[in-house]
Amino acid sequence: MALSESEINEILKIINEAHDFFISEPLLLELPEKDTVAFVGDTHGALDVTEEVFRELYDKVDILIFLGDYVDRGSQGIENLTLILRKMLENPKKVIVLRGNHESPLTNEFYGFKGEVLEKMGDYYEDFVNMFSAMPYAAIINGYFCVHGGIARNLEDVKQINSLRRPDVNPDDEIAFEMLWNDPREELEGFVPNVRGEGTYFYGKDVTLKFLERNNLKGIIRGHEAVDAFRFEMDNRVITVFSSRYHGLGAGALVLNKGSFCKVLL
Amino acid sequence: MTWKCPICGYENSDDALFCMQCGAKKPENVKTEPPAVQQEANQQPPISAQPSAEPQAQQVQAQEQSSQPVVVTEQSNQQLTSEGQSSVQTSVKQPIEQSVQQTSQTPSQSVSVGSATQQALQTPAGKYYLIFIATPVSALNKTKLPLEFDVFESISIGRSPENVIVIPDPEISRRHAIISLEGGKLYIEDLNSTNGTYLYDGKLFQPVKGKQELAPGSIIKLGSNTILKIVIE
Repeated sequence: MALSESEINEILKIINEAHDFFISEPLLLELPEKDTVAFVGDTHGALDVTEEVFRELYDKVDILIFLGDYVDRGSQGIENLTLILRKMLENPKKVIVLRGNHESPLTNEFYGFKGEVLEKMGDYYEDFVNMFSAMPYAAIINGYFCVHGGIARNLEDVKQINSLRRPDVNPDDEIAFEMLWNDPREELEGFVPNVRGEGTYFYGKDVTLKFLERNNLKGIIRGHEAVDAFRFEMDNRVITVFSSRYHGLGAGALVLNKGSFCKVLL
Repeated sequence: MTWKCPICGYENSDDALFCMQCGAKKPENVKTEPPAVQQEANQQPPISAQPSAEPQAQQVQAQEQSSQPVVVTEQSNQQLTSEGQSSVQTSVKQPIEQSVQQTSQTPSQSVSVGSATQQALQTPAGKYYLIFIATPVSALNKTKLPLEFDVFESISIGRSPENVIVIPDPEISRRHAIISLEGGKLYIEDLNSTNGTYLYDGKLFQPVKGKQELAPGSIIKLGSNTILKIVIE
């Protein structure tokens, strides 16, 4: 269903303001310590999940971190994305929005978002691409590395993230691409080619632990894989959070409360 | 072309590997023209004869070594008996199978088959498992499956239910690959699958050609969406 002109203008305004905000921030967000942090994984147009997060969790936590993948695979990608961005613009210290592999034309072409924009808004997809290409790749909070996919083969030091190029539409940078696409596998060692396609890798336990040690981090909190709400692996050093509906499994948000994790089902 | 079950006489379709009526294994070389097998024994056999010939020879060995009957999961006692009987029948073919093998392979390889199976059965150094690393049905990931060589002489992997390990991945062929244990060593062979079987060499997944050895830690890819790892415990 097409949106009205005023709705379209409102959305474009949010998209452009979000773009300008992202550009003013680094690609790696080093956030101050907080008592209570909520992490939300892939929502993929599950507007009801996002609404529940803001209704039920927002007031109870100090900060909300969205781990990417707001669009594609669901019919309300635009609504879901604009709700998250609007909340971020209202309170940018409390709502952190990271980039996922679906904030990219590489996926939007095939998983529905490009078509959704064309159908509901008209020829405005490039505005979204422009905003996506400025989004931050990762955040660090309370010693946890928050990222959509995970670590990359050539990512030695987290500080490297801030020197990655921007804008990067697909992204084409290897480190950026892998951070959005890679998956953890505790059964493996090193980086092993992933089934997701060329340039994607599984990261094994040894390289993950080395990365965490080298960067003085406690763990990785990420989304990207359609698990039943949560998956803890590598002795709880890597946690996958998934918050969508399309996969038919549980949608969850992870809450870190004074050092201990709490699972919230949505 | 159909095959008649030697146990119950049921006429089975050609692609059934087990009798639809009683569950007995299809006696492979009896199926169409027994004389053809005899001929093969005297000549250089076609390459396609090998995959079926070898496991069968092995199965016979396994039968003789272990006092237990071959146990096939999800089958009744009656069927177990049939299974045993059918194996006895195929054991008659054993000399032929062996000679097929010997003419087609290097002597050292074929000689090792018998003693190898024996060793593996008597002194298992640990049990081999397959772990799902990636597959389209994500709920299967992290699943650890034992490779029951004391139950199955070789472990077939594929998409159709007749396999020992069934993987629901459209890129996997109905009968995709086979894992066997010989001389305490694990081998994998691609069964001419559409999308291939690959072994990780530490850098890339390389296509499996013929029969290739596996080691604990080997990473196998079937088609482009399923990755499995071998572990021993």
